[in-house]
Amino acid sequence: MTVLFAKEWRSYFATPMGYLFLSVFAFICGWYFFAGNLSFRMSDLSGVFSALYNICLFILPLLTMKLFSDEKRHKTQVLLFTSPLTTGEIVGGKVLSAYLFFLLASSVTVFFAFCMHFLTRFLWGLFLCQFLGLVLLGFAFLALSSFIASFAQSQMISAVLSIASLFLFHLSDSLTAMTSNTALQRALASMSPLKNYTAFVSGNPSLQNLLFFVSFGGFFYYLTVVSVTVQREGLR
Amino acid sequence: MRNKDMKPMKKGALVVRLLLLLAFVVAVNMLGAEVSEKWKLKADFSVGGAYKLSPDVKAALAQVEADTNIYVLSSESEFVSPSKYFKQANEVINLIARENKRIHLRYVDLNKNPLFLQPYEKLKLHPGDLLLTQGGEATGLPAEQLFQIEQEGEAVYIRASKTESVLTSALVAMGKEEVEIAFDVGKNAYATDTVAYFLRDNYFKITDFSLEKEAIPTGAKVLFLFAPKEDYDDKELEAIAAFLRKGHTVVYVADIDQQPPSKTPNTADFLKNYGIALLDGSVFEPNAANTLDGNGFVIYPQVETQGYQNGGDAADKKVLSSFSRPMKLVQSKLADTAALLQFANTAVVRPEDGANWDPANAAPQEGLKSAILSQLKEEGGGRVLAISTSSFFNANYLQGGLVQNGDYFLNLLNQLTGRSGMPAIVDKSLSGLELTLLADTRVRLGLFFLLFLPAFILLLGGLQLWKRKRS
Repeated sequence: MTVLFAKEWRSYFATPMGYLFLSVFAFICGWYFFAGNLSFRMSDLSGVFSALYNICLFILPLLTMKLFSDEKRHKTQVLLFTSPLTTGEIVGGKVLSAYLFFLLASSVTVFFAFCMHFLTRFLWGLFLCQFLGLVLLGFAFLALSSFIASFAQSQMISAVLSIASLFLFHLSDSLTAMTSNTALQRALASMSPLKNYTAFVSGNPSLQNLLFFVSFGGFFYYLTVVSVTVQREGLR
Repeated sequence: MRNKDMKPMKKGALVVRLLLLLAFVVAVNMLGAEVSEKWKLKADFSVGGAYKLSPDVKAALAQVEADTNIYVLSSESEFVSPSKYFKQANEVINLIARENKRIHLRYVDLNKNPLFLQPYEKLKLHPGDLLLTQGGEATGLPAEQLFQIEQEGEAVYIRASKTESVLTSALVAMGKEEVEIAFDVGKNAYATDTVAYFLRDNYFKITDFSLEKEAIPTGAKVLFLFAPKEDYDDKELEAIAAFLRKGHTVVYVADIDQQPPSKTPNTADFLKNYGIALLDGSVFEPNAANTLDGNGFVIYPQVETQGYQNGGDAADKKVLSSFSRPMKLVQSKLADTAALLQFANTAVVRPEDGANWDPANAAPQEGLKSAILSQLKEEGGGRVLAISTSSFFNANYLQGGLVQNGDYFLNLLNQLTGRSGMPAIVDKSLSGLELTLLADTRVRLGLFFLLFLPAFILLLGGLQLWKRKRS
């Protein structure tokens, strides 16, 4: 698994695309930091983290779109599926590389935090809570995008379908207003990534918010394993 | 044949397994939501603990002994939708309702229940406001009172939340007799609308009367003399002294629009008996650091006696005293006096007729006060609170976010009138602490994060591309 992870990790830096991703990510975060914190002279990074939700919604599928379709394009899928690696290891190695790449991009917020630390009495507890929210959001969104990437035929289809699916989940919060059924309202509200993420951003997370991201990410990670298993069995 | 039969079975089992897993995930989330709500499994990392109740508030809520209903006049999802401040307010309202079993919380969607407000028409409530009922008593709490609202140009925005202290005050006040404040509107006194409105909002009963024609209302605990422009006569002053001897409080507000104290000798001598000397002229502060925008008449006095300021996120905000009549402490046989707010020793006095006055040539006067509290020495004696300017009660200073005059005065009045259990008004901001950032530092940091860092990463990418092409 380590070898597969290392190969995937290196692939992000083998072309300028990985750097372009990091650069754009840093620029967008930097803009929100400049506009929301430096211009308004506020130490709270909530604005940056709130903006990161929308950024993740559109940008994370770009990290996973090539995970499996590249193997199909380069005809290396057979090699990979007939290797002695278990399906869990294959999926784990690929998803972990995308996840760590996302964490690397997100680490720009740590620079912001240190910046604030030297300028004022910075609330590290709140920042860590917000960062944990981002880490969990990335975990959940990457798991869903990886699942779609596992069966999509091309990178483009993978990215479009992933963004559309994430957007559907994003809308679940709005759907609560369309039903009068309290139980359904609660179910929809508890499944809203935005609502659960906002709790972390505002520094007021509950056990349920944590459970949501872990279960959401875990579920789609499992689906990815199932999807790859089915494809593997089809090859045999 | 056998393989063909097995495959659909295997697929079916897989689908069932996935559906069961999905149901499990949904159930875990719903259960998690219930458990988190029931056992308060929530962390609070916010600035100043915006999502938890302070010990003062908890102690105050324990005083609510009768069944009290809080009606939020909208559905919960609609109430929290406008901004993060409404979400915070909703969390706090829920915490308050959970704190005391006598307090019951209900969300009333007025679209579904349009006749709900009919018995409370007089309160003039709107969707999103709060209605509190206890027995036959009902009081309204407009949503805007839950927040510290600020205006910058045409933009109006919420700067902080006051939900915790404002709602608790309203709940505690419901079970108690209102403290009556009598305003003497005779003697050509200054208009009292703003301060009366502010006090009514904070559950005081306001009665207007004229001391020239009427006796002080019997139920009044506080007598407000709001910058009277004419002098009081002996009879009126005796009525005020008798009021003080009953242990009540007199708030005397001075103003530079009044006749100078030298021309209202009765009132000036009366106050002097209680250790408060009113002087002619107006206070001017040459040191711009102690003023608002360098205006020498709009001064931030220093807090001399602690204990009345807003202790929350507005703690760094000052009290503002503009166009003030100079006041000093003098020896008194009747009362013990203490300065609450005082001007810096750099302050000077502009004479009453100061047409050609030059502050540069004026000698600084030590010991000029902005607020003085005088306590009668005799047992059970009342108090005289003197404030140097009616501008202290300017609407922008009382309700605005610029200064904390409103919170300061309210905390002071609560203590003077013995409204025990009323929590001090505390602002809780969700926006973090303000940065003291020089313009060039801001530009440098902005350039680093907006240009230098992304460009550096791109450069690394370019190098990578160049390396690949070379190899």
